[in-house]
Amino acid sequence: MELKNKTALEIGQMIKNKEVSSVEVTKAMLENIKNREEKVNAFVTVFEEEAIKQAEDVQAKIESGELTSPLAGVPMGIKDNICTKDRLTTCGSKMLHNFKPPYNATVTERLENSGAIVLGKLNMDEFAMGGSTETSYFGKTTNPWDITRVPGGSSGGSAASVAAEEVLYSLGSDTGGSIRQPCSFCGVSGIKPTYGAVSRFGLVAFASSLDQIGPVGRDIRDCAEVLSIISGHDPKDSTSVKRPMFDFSTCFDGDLKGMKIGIPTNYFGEGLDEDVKKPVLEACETLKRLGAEVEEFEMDIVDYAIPTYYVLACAEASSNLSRYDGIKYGYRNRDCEDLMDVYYTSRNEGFGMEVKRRIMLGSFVLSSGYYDAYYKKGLQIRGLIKKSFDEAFSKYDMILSPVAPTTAYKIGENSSDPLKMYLGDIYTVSVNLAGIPAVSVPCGFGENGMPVGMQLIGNAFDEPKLVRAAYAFQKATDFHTKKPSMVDEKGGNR
Amino acid sequence: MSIKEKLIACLIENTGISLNEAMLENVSARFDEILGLIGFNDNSEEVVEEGKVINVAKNGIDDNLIKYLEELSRLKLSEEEEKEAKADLTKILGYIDMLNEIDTTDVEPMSHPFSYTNNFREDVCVESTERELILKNAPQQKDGCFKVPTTVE
Repeated sequence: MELKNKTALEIGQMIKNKEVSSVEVTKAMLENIKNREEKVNAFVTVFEEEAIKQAEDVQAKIESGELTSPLAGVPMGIKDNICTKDRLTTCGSKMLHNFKPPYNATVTERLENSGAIVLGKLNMDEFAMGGSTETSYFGKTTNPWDITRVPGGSSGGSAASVAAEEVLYSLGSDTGGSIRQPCSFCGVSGIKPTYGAVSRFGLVAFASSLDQIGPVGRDIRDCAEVLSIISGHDPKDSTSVKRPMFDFSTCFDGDLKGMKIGIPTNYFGEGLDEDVKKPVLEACETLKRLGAEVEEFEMDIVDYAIPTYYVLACAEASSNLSRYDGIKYGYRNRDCEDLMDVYYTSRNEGFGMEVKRRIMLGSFVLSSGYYDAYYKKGLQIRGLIKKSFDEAFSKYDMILSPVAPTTAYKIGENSSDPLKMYLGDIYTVSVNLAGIPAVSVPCGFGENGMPVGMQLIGNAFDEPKLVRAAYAFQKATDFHTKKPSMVDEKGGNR
Repeated sequence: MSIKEKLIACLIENTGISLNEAMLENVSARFDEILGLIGFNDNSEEVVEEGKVINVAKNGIDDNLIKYLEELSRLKLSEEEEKEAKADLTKILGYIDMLNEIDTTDVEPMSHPFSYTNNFREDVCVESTERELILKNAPQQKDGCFKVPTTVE
């Protein structure tokens, strides 16, 4: 039974057609994990026995007609900051190295109810703070295209596991680009949904006004299917929006006639690698051929998105991470005889340096005397960024841009310089600040053979438009079907 | 000078009345009461002196500020980590200072992507998570409670 190069929906259909069983697919994926994890390290935890048991149950329910989802029986992985009941959820941190949540995140619940097989929990930058999956307490994840390079981050495990065909799709989370950038680095597709489209209940909080869970997959169609399952109002998340479910059914005809796409000129200026610029501009030509009208425009305020983002994200993080006190759950230094010492010592030993740096930066911008100059200023500029997107969407259906200024860089190349790392988020963070959706899809390769992604940004709840455009692009191109050599011995693009 | 001391100095300066010890004590107590009512936590003595506020990036972050941030963050960095944090935060804040290039007069701060009104659930009784399940993750527990070092003798 050939399972290689299949999408999640294709596997789902094969299971329905009785060409293969969920248990067989699950075992095949566990075998891939066994063979490739030594190189990739995309997982923090693999649920081997539980997954096989789950597949047996799901298979029976598919046969009895109880489970009808197109993805029922398909094995997948979940980023390790999304709660899985009674199963480790570490956030890539020593602080939560032994944490088994007593409940499921809403997205976990919805996926398992529709027959998802959870193969395990995927590696990430500690508390989702980073862009390279180098800060995890459980070791670095590598890029399946070149294991001397980073997979991106923070959802590095989510993207690498899909690229290495260890899972058929995965869930990631995106606070400033954490789904889109690893998708670009690993040559896979992903969606950062509109803020409020997907419940955050059970997602370990980093920056609550920016965090959003989304899918990573082999192509945009898989991602849209996963998004249909996980989105929708949830009474357990007061920021989840009450609105009709997304309807993607009319998105797959490959036609872009009448679609107006804007390109912000300052997104293609200084700091953008030629390796990325060329494929993204070529993608622009492809979109034109498919019927889209493309126009350049100015959007200068987004040049201020990175400093705004780091002020606000760190402020929210310092507040959210105050819950780790060494008492209720997680790591605790047991030698302390004083309560204050328990806090100080457990936190200092439980958190890694990047997390500590961001907590301190957040404490700084929120502290009396500095609040107006930094935090309030950041909130005001956030308003201006949102306004400039509103203006853009009064003229265009969507915005096309690069995802990241470079292709995947070498492990260790940026890890000693936090500011340099932050600058890599230049094209992604403004989307989170504005609360709008964006997709990342493969659009070519750099001279170095590494994948390049493009980003399509839409207005709030315009996910169907983005899926429509991304699908038309993937129908006309084959970048998303290329495989790293560890999966396909014939190699990728060269 | 604490906020309270500043207020008293301001009072004396503007009214020209000199206060005797009893009056001073009385005023001081009233100010404590008022500051308490508005929830003001006077820790201004711990804050590095004013004037440095905007010049952090120019002057760099000094050891006092790092210690203060550690305290606010409930972290106790090693000497090596403090050195690293000082250099990194100075650099990052220097970069963040570019926000000052934008005029934000009369711009409404945006704390959330959408404007929300209160989003209440219906008031129904549901079972909450069982105590044992929650305590399972506690590093130390005793008699069905989280265990901490003695805090009150």
